[in-house]
Amino acid sequence: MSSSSVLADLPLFRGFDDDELERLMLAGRVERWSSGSVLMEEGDAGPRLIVILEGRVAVLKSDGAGGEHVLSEVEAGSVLGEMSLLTAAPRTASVRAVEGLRVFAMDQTVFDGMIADGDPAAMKLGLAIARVLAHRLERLNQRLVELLEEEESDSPLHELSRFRHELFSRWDF
Amino acid sequence: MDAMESAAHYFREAARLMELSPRIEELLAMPSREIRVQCTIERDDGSVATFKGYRVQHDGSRGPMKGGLRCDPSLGGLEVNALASLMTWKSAVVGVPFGGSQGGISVDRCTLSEREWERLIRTYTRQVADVLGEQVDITGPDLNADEQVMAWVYDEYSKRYGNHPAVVTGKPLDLHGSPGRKAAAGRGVAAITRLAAQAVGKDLVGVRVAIHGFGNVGQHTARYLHEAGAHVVAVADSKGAIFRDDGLHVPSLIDHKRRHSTLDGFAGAENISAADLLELDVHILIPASTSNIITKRNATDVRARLIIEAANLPIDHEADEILRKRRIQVIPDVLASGGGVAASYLEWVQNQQRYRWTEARVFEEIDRIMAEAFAVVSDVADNKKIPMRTAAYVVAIGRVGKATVLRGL
Repeated sequence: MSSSSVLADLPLFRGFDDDELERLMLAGRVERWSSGSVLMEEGDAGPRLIVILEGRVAVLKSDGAGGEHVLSEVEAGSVLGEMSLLTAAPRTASVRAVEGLRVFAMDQTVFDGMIADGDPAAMKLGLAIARVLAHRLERLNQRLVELLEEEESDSPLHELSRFRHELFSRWDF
Repeated sequence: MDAMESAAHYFREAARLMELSPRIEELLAMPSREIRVQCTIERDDGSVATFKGYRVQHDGSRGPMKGGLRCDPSLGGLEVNALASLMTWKSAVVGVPFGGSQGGISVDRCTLSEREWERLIRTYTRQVADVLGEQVDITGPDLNADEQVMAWVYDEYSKRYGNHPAVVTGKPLDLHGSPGRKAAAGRGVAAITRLAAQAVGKDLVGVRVAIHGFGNVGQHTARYLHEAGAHVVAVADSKGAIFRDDGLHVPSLIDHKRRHSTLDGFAGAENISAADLLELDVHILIPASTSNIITKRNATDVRARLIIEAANLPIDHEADEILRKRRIQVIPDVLASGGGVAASYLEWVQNQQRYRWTEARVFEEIDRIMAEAFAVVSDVADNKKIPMRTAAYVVAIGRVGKATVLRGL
């Protein structure tokens, strides 16, 4: 199995041709991590994209009092650090291997270089990341609406709004 | 049963139908402000007498609050509260831009001399003056408080705040009163009666009517219906009732009552009991006297197909249930007796304008106001398939509710 075909199976790289995948593989590198190793540390600079090829990681957030909370566990096929690739902001969470890992990693400086050269593979990757972010934003918006609705139905503070709505619809005359 | 209990029942019935939350129901039901005052006067013999006075302001979301001054020995705080809320709903149903309030003094008028009576009214007015106001709370006549009382209230209030005739309605015609006011309540009842009859395809000509109560409202109602061609076959006052199968000559009867203070002895009519009147074979029955005239004890005996409530709360809620089952149409007090508050509103408007209208203009406005109110309530009753009474309360709650939410808390 060629190294580029590892990426070809992932949703993020759908629509990339072999040539483009090959160039991405050359620009980045495949890394192996043992269980328990920390791939990224919360607050670190040095933005990079990580695609999990094999294994599972935990995304962790410190509680400010020395403790850590597991935000989620993500599996092979997932993408991490994609936001940092675009914004170069420090890491918002830590990532630790839960089991033995194989990942594809690409530094932001390399990605920026490819974009500057007008490499279509980097352009496509940028677009793919934008789509991932757009989907995530959509889900967040949906959740926000649900939360607001829940709050509205639970809270007596919105009784007047509901009363008003009823008066100007069902009981309007 | 307490009449006030029926009023609360009718409100709750509409509130439940509209699925109001308990907190919104409470917001609408609870009075905005309740005041109790001490009214102490020096009697003619030099002794001191103290009476309890009340002013309850129920809701001011739709405009200045409006309510009468009731003088009755049995008057208590709970009754004043209930009457204040009834005024809120009535003003809203009728569609005049007033909220509801009520005042009162717990006193037996008959135990006071004319001078003591005037002193008491002036003392009461001073005690509540700082919560009254032509844009805040407007008082008016009620049980044992006639236009002379209103003149004293106006004068006493004006001593402190300057000339504000619109702070009280029901004043004498010679002191900023309105033409047509005395006939207004009866005119309103007659207008509603005509509209309710039309709604079931009946003309008033030849329609048989019985009227329970022959005071100001009963007399004017009878006169207007007589003029419209109805046969007023029976009327009752506090002392008894009279009946004539082919219809009483109402103008002569009013004259007779004025001269003799009784219905008894009116030529061509037979005496019956007031209770019998309620069970007569008539098309329309108009209770125009006091509350709780029709209860579960006599509701099954009513033979009229249409009842117009000219008095406040003449039918208790148990009787109302029976009448509904018997498919007897009831036009509720909050709509039918609204001519009074409509006239109060028109007097207030004229006082603000410093301009007197003609009686014809006052009547034209009352007829229009009552017709619009009837149309809205009967539309809601038809659309929601609910009784007219429930529909009237739905309209009232809707209007007060809208004003409340539009203004915000």
